[in-house]
Amino acid sequence: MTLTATRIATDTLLTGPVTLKPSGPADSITASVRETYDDHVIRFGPRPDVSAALLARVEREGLLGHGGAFVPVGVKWRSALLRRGPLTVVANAAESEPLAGKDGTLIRQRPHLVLDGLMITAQALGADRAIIWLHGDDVTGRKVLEDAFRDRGWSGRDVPIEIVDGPVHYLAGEAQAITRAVAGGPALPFPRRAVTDPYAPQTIVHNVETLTRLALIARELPNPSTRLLTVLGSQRMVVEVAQTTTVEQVLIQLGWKIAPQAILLGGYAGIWAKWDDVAGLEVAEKAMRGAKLTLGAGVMVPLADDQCGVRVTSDLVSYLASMSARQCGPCLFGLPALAEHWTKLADEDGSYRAIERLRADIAAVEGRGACRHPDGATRLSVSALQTFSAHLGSHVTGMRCRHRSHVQLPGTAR
Amino acid sequence: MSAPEKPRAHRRRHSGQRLRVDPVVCDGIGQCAMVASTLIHLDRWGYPVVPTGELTSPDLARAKRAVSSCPRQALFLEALE
Repeated sequence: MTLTATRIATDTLLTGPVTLKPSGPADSITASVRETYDDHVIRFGPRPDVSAALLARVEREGLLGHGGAFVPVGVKWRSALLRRGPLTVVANAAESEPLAGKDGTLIRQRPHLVLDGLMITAQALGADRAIIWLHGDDVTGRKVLEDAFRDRGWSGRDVPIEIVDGPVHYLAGEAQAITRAVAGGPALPFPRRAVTDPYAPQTIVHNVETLTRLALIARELPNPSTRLLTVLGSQRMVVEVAQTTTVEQVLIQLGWKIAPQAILLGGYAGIWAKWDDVAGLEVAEKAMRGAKLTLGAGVMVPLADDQCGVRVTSDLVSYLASMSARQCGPCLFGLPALAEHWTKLADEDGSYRAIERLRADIAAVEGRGACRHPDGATRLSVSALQTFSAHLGSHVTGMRCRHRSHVQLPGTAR
Repeated sequence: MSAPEKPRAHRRRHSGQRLRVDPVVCDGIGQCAMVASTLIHLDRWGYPVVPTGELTSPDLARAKRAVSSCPRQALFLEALE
């Protein structure tokens, strides 16, 4: 497989694959090695000075955001450069999705590449503040960054980057919530509105992986043609694979012997897909989008053949409902309604009418929150109805669900 | 019909505005659906569902009434690009 091939030192983002604790911050169960500043400079060279050509190079490389939405970095930069207000640039290291671990792993293995990316962005855009935003419980992440600061001889008032701990909440990593928090408000999402005042304060939020890629592009090194994935099998693992690797090859590489029945792509607010529909797909986002799928922030959860997808979906939708910011009516009332329908279906306590009611509530919730949180729950629900349609039949006809071994995904309750 | 009236007729149909609701501010009081019942309806939890597309000129007048009726000032008009 491509991964074992010998390669030059700078064409991967990670120093190696890691096995993480089942959920939460990306703490590995084995000792993880942080690249020191000296090693970093030997490997990549010093941080280059930013020239006006950088924006053009970023656009030529087609660098996209790697937090899950894949917004072109050039688009964000251009809109920031058009405006005059004081600018804050944020490295978003809050992986609030319970399984996602690639960004935390990058922070732990390659903190200096992340710091470089943030400094380069701040310099290129003439930012007034640079912040690393952490999930509130990421104690190790903060320690690694503080050690990295010390490596660089940054201390006291001379530290150019602030580390800010966000709340411990699923929405802590939502870009609008971060924007509001760094401006002194609560870390809660708010609706996007057109900004008319060119002098209004502005915030740019970049994902950690995006910044590491930027740090390489600014050095005129190639943007690694790999994809970082967090896969939950018997263990949670973060791996780096070639974009051309198929989903099936990833699982084989991780030791799966028997094909799963389905796979959850993108995390708890992701999309279910039947195994046969995705096994041969490349993990490249382009290939995924071609099949009307997305891997978002690169999370994959295969569902073994003897597990009940309806039950797992019910757990996930309940989890998402519990993680609403409780600001918008359609989310505050709509997500618990969706969760209730799914619980009924999982408990074999509903009829086809329950599926109809679920569909009606999905339509009522879709697109009606200030952030995309409710849309994550509706998309998950729609994909589950499709993927498990055959099995759902046994839940509503009194034929009884055959799957008696129930997985419980980390962080969800029943 | 004389030629200069045509652009005016065009303006009558397209307002260049759309109606939006700030779902964070909205408390589901439902006043908007009372004053603009042809434009806004309430979902089963009592929160307004507003049309997503461009408003026609007659609808713009209704939308303005809804905007000014909201006790939470959660409704607003937004110019389309």
